[in-house]
Amino acid sequence: MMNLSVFAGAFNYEFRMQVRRPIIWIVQFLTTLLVAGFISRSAGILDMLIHLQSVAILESVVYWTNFMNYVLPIAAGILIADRLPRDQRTKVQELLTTTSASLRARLFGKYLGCTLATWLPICLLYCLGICFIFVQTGNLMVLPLALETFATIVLPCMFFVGAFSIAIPAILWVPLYQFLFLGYWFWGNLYAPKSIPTISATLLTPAGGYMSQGFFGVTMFHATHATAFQGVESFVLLLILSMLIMLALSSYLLWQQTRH
Amino acid sequence: MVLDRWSYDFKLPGRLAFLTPPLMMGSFALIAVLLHTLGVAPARFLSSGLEMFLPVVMGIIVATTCMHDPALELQLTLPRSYASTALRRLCFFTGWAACIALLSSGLIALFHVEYPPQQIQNWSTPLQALATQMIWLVPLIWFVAAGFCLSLLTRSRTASSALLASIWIIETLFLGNIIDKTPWLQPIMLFPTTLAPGASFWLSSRLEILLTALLLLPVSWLLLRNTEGLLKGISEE
Repeated sequence: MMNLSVFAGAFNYEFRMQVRRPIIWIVQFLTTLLVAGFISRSAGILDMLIHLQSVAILESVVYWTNFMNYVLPIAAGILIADRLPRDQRTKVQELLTTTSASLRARLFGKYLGCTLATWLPICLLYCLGICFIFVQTGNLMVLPLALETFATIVLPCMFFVGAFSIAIPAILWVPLYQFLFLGYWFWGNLYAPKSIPTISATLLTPAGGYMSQGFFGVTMFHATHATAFQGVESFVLLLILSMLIMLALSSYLLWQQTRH
Repeated sequence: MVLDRWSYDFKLPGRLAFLTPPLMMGSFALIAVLLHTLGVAPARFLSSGLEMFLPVVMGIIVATTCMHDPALELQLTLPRSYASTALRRLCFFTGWAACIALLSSGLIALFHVEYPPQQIQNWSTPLQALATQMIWLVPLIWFVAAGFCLSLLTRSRTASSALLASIWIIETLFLGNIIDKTPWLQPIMLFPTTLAPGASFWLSSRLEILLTALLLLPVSWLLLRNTEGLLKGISEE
């Protein structure tokens, strides 16, 4: 019971603190604007938007969901990366250590609060796109489909990126993590498997190619032969890894506390 | 006195800020050796390290460290303006990254794994050697200037890093594919050597990018004179 209230308190505080940062909204808005500007110059996508009624609903919803996982998680991951080091910089960590609150519950509250708040602009953008598809097609099936694709494609990516961006800066200098995360996202998710070896066509791709192709048969990532079973595998793997990295972080911070 | 100042500038951001560029280029060299053993030509990969990755990592480092000074309030009371101190730090970082890039560029030439743009391949050797340095110098100056300006504008280190990363990924993913059909985007192409090596506008785009980077410096200078903004930046994170 005590742990639950600690978790709820940390979640509430971190969510409100992060969601009130204007830069979260400004950065995601500018990134979306830039991506939309460049994408509008690509003939195929512009044609698809103009003739949305002739495109299958499933296809347009899945592509829109894939688009949410394409570039926007980079900005989100970078924006989350400074949250834990900030506690150390402002000496809040030391203050919180003196309380009886469980570190694990506090850390999980922080993780979920920060992550959900940082993804809120992406969720709103997603809803806007879904409304646009709904208005264009007039088909109510868009709504359950949108929920389904969001839960299976966006959520694992959100939990995975959030966990790594909270945990890794505990041991790595923040700008270095931000750069490595950018490099990882490009190489490990978006880089087409050509001459340089990459993991972008493996189960370990938070961009969601396996879930997208496996569950819905459509993807803009490099997992064109994924089956539904592989989709489940990728989904479970990403969630388990997110939980493991958070457990490892709490153990590391506890070890640090006892050492001091 | 000057040495003390430089020594403080060196200690302030921490060793990692200075170690990151050589470590990054060293990692690129190791991966290039690995690619060579796998039968993949490493020239383009090495060129991307110099043209695309070194500039963005320096942009993020500058955005994070140049405006972060625990003694900012004290600095603002001194007769020497904080604007000149911050610009000196910017030059310090850029100079260090330029040294690493120059050394890497020399080693790449020594091992004959260059990836020059098509436009300069018929130039005389000294001119080609000079133009080759523009491959990394122009994006480096642009990212450093943009990182500096963005950190002053947003008053947030993470926001400026996120914006730089977004610009980098969007340029990398989208611009190469649409540049042929949209020539008006040529002046904003940051990485033509790696993404469009056959481009006929290579030199003109280098000069235009350099010009935009130099224009960001007076903007940053003006933003640095906003004392209230600088102080707010500390508390807003």
